[in-house]
Amino acid sequence: MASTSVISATVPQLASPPNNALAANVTGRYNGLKCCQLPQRINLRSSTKNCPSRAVRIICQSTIQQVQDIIATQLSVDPSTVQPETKFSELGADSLDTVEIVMSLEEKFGVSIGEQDAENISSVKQVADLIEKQRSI
Amino acid sequence: MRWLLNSRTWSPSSSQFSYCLSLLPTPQQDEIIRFVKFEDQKRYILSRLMQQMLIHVVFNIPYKEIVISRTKEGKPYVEPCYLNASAPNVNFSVSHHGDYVALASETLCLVGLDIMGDEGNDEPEEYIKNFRSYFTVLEWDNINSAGQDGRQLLDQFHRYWCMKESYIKAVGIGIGFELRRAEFFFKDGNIWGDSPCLRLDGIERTDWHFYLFHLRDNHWVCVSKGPPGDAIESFKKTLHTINQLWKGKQI
Repeated sequence: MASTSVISATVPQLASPPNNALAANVTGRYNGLKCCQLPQRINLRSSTKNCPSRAVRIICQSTIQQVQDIIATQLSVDPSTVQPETKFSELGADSLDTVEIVMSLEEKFGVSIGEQDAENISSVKQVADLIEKQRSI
Repeated sequence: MRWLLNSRTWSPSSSQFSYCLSLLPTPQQDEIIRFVKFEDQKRYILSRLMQQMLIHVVFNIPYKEIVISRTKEGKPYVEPCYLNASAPNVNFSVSHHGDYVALASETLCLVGLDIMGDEGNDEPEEYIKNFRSYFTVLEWDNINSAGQDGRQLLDQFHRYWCMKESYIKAVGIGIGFELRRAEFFFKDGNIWGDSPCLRLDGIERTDWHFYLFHLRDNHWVCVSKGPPGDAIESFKKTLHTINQLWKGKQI
């Protein structure tokens, strides 16, 4: 069998960047501290379009927001980057992340999402809809 | 190519980090800065830069002109216009976990790579039980044959998980695959072996090869290699050569 060699290396020291090469959208401090500040964006319209009455609209909004927060926490991303239409693949989630997200959501909402449903989840809104469906049963 | 970097030992200054970020297209910069933890940002930026470096090294394309796209499932691929007769199917897989960021690439066969490691679980037995339904009976028995030793249980779980991930990443599936369909076993029965075999939907696939490695601090890596014809449609379209004689060929 052909052998596969693994090359292990530390990242080489970079040359000093030219003064005008700084990326415009990176702010804040580094070395373990928060690196960016993004404005809060909550898209109410897309999370409520399927809910008829005002009371139900509030419940719908709350579920998707909680789902967004849990996903953002699990993936350690800024919550404002997790929108209903966002796909898990866009957030860098792999199979393990997806399974752990589903587990967290099942625990939070007290529902059980079937294995087949879990394996077909690809977007934030899809999982929120699944939870709403389970809760209404 | 097989590249492995330790992201923990990279301590860029703010200007160095900004410079690295500026080397990437703006959408990728946005993807990186959404991470709230700097360690995640470092891992992602290294992963992106390694991909750029691969294209530059293999095809000699200037960094600023490199385009790396993704299929709808999220699989990154080499633009077909870069490919040529001597490197018809250049494809790659990246993974990062804990301290490590890695990339594996091949010019003809499919390649997949995954790294798994600890996530600070205090109760491995309880944690692993949550994943029971993703393993076949054989795999579950193998994992639990590690007994009460939490370290060994976690190692077995991580090994099996990165075997499965390395397969699905090679074919370009991403998420949305029934993981039990890909069953891994060791022909000699040694569950700590480094060359697992694949049974896909119950059929042994001798045209797939897997290599397991152990890295420091309880990380496990699996590299997979398989026939280009097994790529899913959206990924297959990006490759030049599909019809290769493959049967049992050692790579």
